[in-house]
Amino acid sequence: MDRWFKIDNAGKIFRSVSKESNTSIFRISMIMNEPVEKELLQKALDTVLVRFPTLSVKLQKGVFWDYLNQNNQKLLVQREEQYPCCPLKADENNGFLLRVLYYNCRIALEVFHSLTDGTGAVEFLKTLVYQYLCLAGKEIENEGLILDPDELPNKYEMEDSFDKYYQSMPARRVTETKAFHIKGTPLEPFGNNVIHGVMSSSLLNSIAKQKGSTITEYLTSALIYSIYTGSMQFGIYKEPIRVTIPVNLRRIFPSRTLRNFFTVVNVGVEPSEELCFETVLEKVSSQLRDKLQKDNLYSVMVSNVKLEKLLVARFIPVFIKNMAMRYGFENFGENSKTITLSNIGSIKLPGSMCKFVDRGEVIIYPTFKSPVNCGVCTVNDSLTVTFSRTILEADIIRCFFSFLSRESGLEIKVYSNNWGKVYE
Amino acid sequence: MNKCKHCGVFIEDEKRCPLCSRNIGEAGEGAKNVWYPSYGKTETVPQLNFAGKVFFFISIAVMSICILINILSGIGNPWSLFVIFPVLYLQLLINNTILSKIRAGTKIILQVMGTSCFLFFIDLLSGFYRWSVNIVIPFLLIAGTFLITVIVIKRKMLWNEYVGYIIAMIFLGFLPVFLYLTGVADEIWASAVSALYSFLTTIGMLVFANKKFKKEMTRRFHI
Repeated sequence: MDRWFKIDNAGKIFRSVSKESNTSIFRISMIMNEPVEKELLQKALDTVLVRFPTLSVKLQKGVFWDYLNQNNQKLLVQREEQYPCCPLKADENNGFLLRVLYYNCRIALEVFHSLTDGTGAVEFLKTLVYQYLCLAGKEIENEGLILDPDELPNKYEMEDSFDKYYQSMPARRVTETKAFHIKGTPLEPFGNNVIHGVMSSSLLNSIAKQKGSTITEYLTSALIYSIYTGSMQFGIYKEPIRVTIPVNLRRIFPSRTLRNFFTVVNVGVEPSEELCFETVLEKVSSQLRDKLQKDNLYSVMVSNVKLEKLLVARFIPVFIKNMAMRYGFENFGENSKTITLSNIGSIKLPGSMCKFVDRGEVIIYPTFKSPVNCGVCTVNDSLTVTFSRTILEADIIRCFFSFLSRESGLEIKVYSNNWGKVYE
Repeated sequence: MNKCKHCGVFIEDEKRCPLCSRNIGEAGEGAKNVWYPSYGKTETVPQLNFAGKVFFFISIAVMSICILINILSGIGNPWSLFVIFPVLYLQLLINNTILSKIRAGTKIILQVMGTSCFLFFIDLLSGFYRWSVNIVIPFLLIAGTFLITVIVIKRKMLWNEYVGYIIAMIFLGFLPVFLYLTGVADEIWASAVSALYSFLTTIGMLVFANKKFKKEMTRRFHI
């Protein structure tokens, strides 16, 4: 079948703003309990890719919008050799906009954000790991938690939910002031340094509960507090520390799409001389709960889709629209945030599969104005917080983990890819 | 597993704490990062297209020297433009058409446009007898469309890759008629031939590549 897909609302932005220093490629991986076998992973990928037609595509240029054409070539698994989320080269990958990597016990999926969001990527990775384990002769029950690789793709999984759930209504776009930006010495050579911190999810959850918050609220507050103590405490800064949090729109709409269907909310705190963690937590919890209300999320989504639906905008050539989107992204989106914290949440695996998977990792690509970003996910009670950065200074990350360890008494295991580190 | 006393976190398989870079000692000399490959000495990006850079520098030098001499010797006769336009065209020819690795379709379109502009300015500077807009540009556009049609026919596998170039050339084929209607050109026959050739190419596409062409048009022009 010769399928094609229009790029969805969020995907259009990523398409127009992606470049070497902002690849728009994120990574989701699972750490297995045994080293990964390349041949089995390739076999699993060959089967699974057919099940996810919205991911087996290549980018084509159009006149008014670019689009995604079905890619019938073979996607090869690769041994990890480059830094995480490095740019995709068209000739490297038969035109595919994703990579499947393996290294020791890790199976990683790196995907261009125009194709899917965290939810879609997690579903793909779960199915890939399931198929891999089945081929390895492990006895695993699906338990309705994995998309069956032998099933035909469902049309609801391929739908553009932004388009489906959009209804024209007055929605006001809130323009936010400039936020504090983290600055530092660029890594040499350019690339992404990642630092993972692994801790118990249930323990962190109980600590957050004691403070009357959720894990996301607690981690966001810890992050803001770390930026304050690690970067701002000894300077004169007026800009707020603002964290961008992607929100899954499937929580308010009954969508089963495997394409992008999310929006973002910003929560922030103004710095002051005597800023304590409790104050930050209180402000963050209150803002987040307010912004996660259905009406607010719907309004944000409508205001984003509205621009794309304008009749005049539709007939403007894509290269002009790309310039406008880049300008908007740099001057409104990127300017109004300090850092992104993306919590994919708990990745639910069948009970029989859990024993073969140790934990997960999420890596969010850094950008020029947001050179440190943070991804969080939980697998098997192991919560992994991953910081990716393009700058040498790790003060904020050190403050964050030290604070968590000191404040909550959690045992945190830390490891890194050491990109850009030169030890004597 | 060792604990970094400074940061309060546990570190496995590494000699130094990834957060504060302090040596945590006890990990031992044999400690090896099992989670990521050793990037070793990362290759720095090679200086690509050195010949292109040299030519670019020479071009800038030649043009600026000519402009300076032209200004110093009296601006009344702008002879330096006769140097600048050919140098700019050579820049396109060498850096884009010969040295670049971009697709043949892009090279052809840029060559057609570049040559057209170059000849138009030469015509303009030498009295504007309109030989460029009346004759040369229409036939250059026909030649460009013909070349891309040949590529499409020869390389059937890449049909949908090249259809964008064909569409662009078809649109460009009607440009000479527009130039005639706006009074820039004063002879119609070559412009009419160019428009007719574009029209016939469109009809040919619709007749011979019916479904594929229509599908591709729907995709490329979707709003």
